[in-house]
Amino acid sequence: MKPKVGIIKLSSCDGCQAVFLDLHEFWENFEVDFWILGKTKRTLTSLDIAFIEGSVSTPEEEEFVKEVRSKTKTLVAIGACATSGGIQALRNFEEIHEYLKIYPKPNYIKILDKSTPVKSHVKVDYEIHGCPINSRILENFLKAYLHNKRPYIPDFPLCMECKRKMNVCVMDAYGIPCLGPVTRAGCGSLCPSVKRGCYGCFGPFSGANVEVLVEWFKKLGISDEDIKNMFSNENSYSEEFRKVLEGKIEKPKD
Amino acid sequence: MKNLKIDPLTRVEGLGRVYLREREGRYEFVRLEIYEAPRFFEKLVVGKKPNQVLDIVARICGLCPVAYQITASEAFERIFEIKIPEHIYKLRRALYLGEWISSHSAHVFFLHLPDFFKKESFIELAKEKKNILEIGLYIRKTGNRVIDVIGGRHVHPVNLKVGGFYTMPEEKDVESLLKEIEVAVEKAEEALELVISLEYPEIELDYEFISLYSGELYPIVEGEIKSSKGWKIKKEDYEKFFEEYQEPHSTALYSRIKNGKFYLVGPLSRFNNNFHNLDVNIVKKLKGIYPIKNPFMSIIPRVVEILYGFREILKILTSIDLKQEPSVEWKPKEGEGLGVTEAPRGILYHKYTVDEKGKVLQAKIVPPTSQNQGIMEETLYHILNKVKPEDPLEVSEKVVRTFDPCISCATHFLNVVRLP
Repeated sequence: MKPKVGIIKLSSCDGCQAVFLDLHEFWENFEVDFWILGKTKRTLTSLDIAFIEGSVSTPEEEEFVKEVRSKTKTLVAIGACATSGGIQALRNFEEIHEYLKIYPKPNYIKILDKSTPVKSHVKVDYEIHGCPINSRILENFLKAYLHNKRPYIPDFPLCMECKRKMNVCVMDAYGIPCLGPVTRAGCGSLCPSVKRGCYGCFGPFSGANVEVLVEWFKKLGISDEDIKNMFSNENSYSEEFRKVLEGKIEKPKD
Repeated sequence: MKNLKIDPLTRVEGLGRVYLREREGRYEFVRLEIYEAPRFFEKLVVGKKPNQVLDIVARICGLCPVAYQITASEAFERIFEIKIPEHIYKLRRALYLGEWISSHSAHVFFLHLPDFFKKESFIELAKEKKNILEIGLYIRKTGNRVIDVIGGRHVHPVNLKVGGFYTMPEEKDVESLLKEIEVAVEKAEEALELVISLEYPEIELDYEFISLYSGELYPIVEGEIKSSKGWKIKKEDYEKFFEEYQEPHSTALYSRIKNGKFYLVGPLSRFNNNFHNLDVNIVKKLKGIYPIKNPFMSIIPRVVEILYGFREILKILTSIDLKQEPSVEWKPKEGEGLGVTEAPRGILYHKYTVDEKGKVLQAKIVPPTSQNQGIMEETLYHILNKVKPEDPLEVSEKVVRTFDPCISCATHFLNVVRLP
């Protein structure tokens, strides 16, 4: 029997779930049971596996994500929003009323103080990173799941992908600041391949040494404000990148 | 009195609901509610420099990031008085058309077509009409490839910057892409035959169609803003003619013409306002059904734009010299500027105010779907009361779907300019 799958959207741009549209192997090998974007079914019933796109940013989403968890055997958070809070988590660094006052009538809006990843609310079984997720990583994940194998999700720096691609290091050769040394591989080192620095849309890998990179940027003559802005991206609220925005970076020990 | 609702709307991009109130056989109340959480983009870009703004605004929409990036570029280039050379302009046009194709094909084949075959999803449709989905998949894949080759990645491209591109596309990639497009043109021709042959409910509405218009090229960034009611304004005058306002049930702002009327943006408007700038053979084939005033038939202009797009991309990529500079140098300066372009779903408006370093002080973004919110409700109201369908909810959902609303786009736009 084909596994029953759901694709669920919270606060997001739809870019990650759009990747599923193009994978016909996906909709041929899974029983797609719940997918607001693709199907007419409106009620959530029990699932073998659910993919959640988007961050939790409203009281309804907070409830909904708990409902999904209770009805799902395997829960997978996909994309920067679901794994770190997304670009909209930039608002977490200011008071929410600062944002709400931009509405003509702020009392109409019901929203949580912070935009947070799925794992802040329920247990997550797997995370697939990236803004957007990479279709090959997703495909491999789906295959592994179908064959009951442990999925392979890259957890090493982007620099290694650049080396494999024989890219010239943009920071070494041109002095362009690059988040590659602290960013998780998986995109195919797209930015350095077009001669620009990585801006971290796959978020940090485990144990990324943000402190050393910040020091390095300072040596390149980049201002504190610009360094902060470099980390103000889709994964700003991840534990590692957050330190830079909150000014909690300590000088690395020699 | 009966209250009805569709909650949530399915097979549309983003999260919305529809409420209807019926009293003695008349629908007296129709409301499209957008409840997707706001993401505050207009505030997120404050303090950021132009090239970072391009990466941030892409995240507004996973189906039309290029539209956001190019509209923002246009605004910044206007502020800094940057002259864009012909080859960069053309390459951007090809890239933008790639996005029209990618976005339209997602809607046409995966979201909309199942309605015409009484199927609940494209997955069900594929079981019976595999060939249709194969055409759709090939078209979408090729549209995505155009964005991959020129933009570096089809969801949230990495190769765009103010003044042009980080790097020109590689010749070998363009060559293999051209071969794929040649096949895709044939598939798009097949798709056009298919949608022309579909059966449509007979209904016409007197819409005010608003789109860009240049009189020469089918517009993406070119020309001025035109209304089918016979008036034309400069892009710079957008805010003099259109206004936004907030309703309690929606996290998106509504738009209207300042005379109080709702209007329609998107492929139907572009098609009707620029029909004679399409290829001769398309004009010949469709002159019998032009102008299209039936919302159910909006699937035809979408496929027309897919076909036109492929041919235009072929023209551009076969004539462009890829050895030229990828971008022009520029210096920031203080000022205010706007960009108005045709996103897949219609007119997209950006305005930025920046300081002397180019950092954003204030931003305003009006996406197509929030402009269409009012006219979608009006259309529902009209059709429900005129046709009196047996299943009003099913019909209402189908009607909303014909507009291809992008609710994730619409919801984020909150007007910073209205600060007290």
